Amino acid sequence: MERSKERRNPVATPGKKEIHRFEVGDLVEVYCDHNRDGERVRDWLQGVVVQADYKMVAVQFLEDVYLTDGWMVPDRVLWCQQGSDVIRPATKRRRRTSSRKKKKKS
Amino acid sequence: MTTRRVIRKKPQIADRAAAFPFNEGDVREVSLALQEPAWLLERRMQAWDLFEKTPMPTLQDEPWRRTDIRRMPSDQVALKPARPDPLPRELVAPLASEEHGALVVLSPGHPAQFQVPEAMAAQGVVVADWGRAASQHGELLRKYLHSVVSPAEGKFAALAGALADHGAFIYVPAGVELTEAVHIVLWAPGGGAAFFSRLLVVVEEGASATVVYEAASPTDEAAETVHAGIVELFMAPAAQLRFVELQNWGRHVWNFTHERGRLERDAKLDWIFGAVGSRLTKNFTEITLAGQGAEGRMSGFYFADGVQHLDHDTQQNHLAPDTTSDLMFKGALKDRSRSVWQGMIYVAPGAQKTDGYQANRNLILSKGARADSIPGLEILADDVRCTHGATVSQLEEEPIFYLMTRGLSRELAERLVIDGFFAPVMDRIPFSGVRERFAAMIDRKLVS
Repeated sequence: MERSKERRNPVATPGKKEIHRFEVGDLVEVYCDHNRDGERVRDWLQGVVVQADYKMVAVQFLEDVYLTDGWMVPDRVLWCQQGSDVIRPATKRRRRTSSRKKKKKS
Repeated sequence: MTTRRVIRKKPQIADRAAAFPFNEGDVREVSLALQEPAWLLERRMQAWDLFEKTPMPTLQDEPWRRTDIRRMPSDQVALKPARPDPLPRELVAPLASEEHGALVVLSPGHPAQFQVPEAMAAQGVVVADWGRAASQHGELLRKYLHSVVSPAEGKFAALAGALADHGAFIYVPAGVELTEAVHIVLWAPGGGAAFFSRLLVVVEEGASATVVYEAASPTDEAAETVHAGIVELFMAPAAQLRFVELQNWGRHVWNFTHERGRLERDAKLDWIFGAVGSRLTKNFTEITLAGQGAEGRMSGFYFADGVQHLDHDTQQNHLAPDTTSDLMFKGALKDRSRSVWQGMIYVAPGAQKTDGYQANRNLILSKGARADSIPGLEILADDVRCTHGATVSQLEEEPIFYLMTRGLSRELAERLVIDGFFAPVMDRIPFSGVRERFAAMIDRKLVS
């Protein structure tokens, strides 16, 4: 049974808006510099939460990601603050790779 | 050719602040308005006598060497009610428990507001404002008032002792364990005023309680205000008290307080302290471990900006053997603000097996800010362990750079490092509501 992620971890504090707390394994989108069709763009990119605590979230990407000054992040891991505007739950499921599709058919 | 000589003169400042415009008649009026018994008026008059005999502190007095109050407009303040501004909702939000055990809102010159659950009153717990305490619980008040903080301790203690017209009295009878917090808010908006407050908390033998005390006001641009207060915490043998104190005065307030917790045998005090407000604060805070096996812990946090001046004078008095004290104060300073922390651990003769610790760490965020940190030990016993430490540092570039390599902006990276600086104090706070409140205070300071 899949629980609704929106309802899973909302934390309310007096006078504050509800923030979504991410956990390890969550599929997310991060607003960051990356490549699309050979061009550097700043847009939402899908990744997976690989580390999370009450304050921070680390997200692993499959594609190269960059700092705003142009440097590539070698291990493709970016950090965000929990509740930051640059991270949100993924709106689409990740596309399965062709090898995994074949495996399932067999 | 004539030469022009420009002579700049510094404005003349007197060697001490001007005298307050109060007199003995004001003391009598305050007592009369509260319909106090004769013995309480007598105590006020004793305090007034001490106030008159004590000179205004100057830079030549050791505890005041780093805190200059000569510009305090003490002659321009008056005894008047607080402006009736609406109370912000966040001040009455529960901080130390899901729900309030009891809520008291004090505002000078206005009737106190109460929410005391019947179950609490049925256990014999007293939660009262000053007038009610004097009229309904006179014997208890007489027994404990001035038993922890004497008006003889300083000019402002005497002034508050004589003129305090709003305050709260909390009494927890022996063996009663309060699971929910008693929340007291002192809300005092208004400029050109002099406010005097006092709080007396008594936790009897084997009882336990949590008390949250917050003093706050919005900044008044028109005129400055003076507040003097006394906080007395008395813990009988084996009593336990968690005391959360937040100082959030407006930038127009000159704030002076004398606060002490007195612990008898095996009593425990966990004192959590946060200070972000006021124009100038001079705060004397003491933990007196008077009974064997008593344990006192104090976790303090302050953040100053603009031209704020926050001076905390702490003292850990070990008067009995096997006592433990643990104090940690952390502060950050922005702009041209200044902090002073003077700490002292005193171990009396015969107080063997004492364990005392004090630490003060400061983070300077602007070139013009300054922190003075002066730890001290006075040990008159030979089998003790006492340690202290004090640091003043700036934001390190390396952790900020490391965070920025993970895609965080410089602003956010600095914020995270500052959060990390305060984390050891936050980790000592057992209430998530208080931690969130402190975090919000830091946020506001950083964006201001």
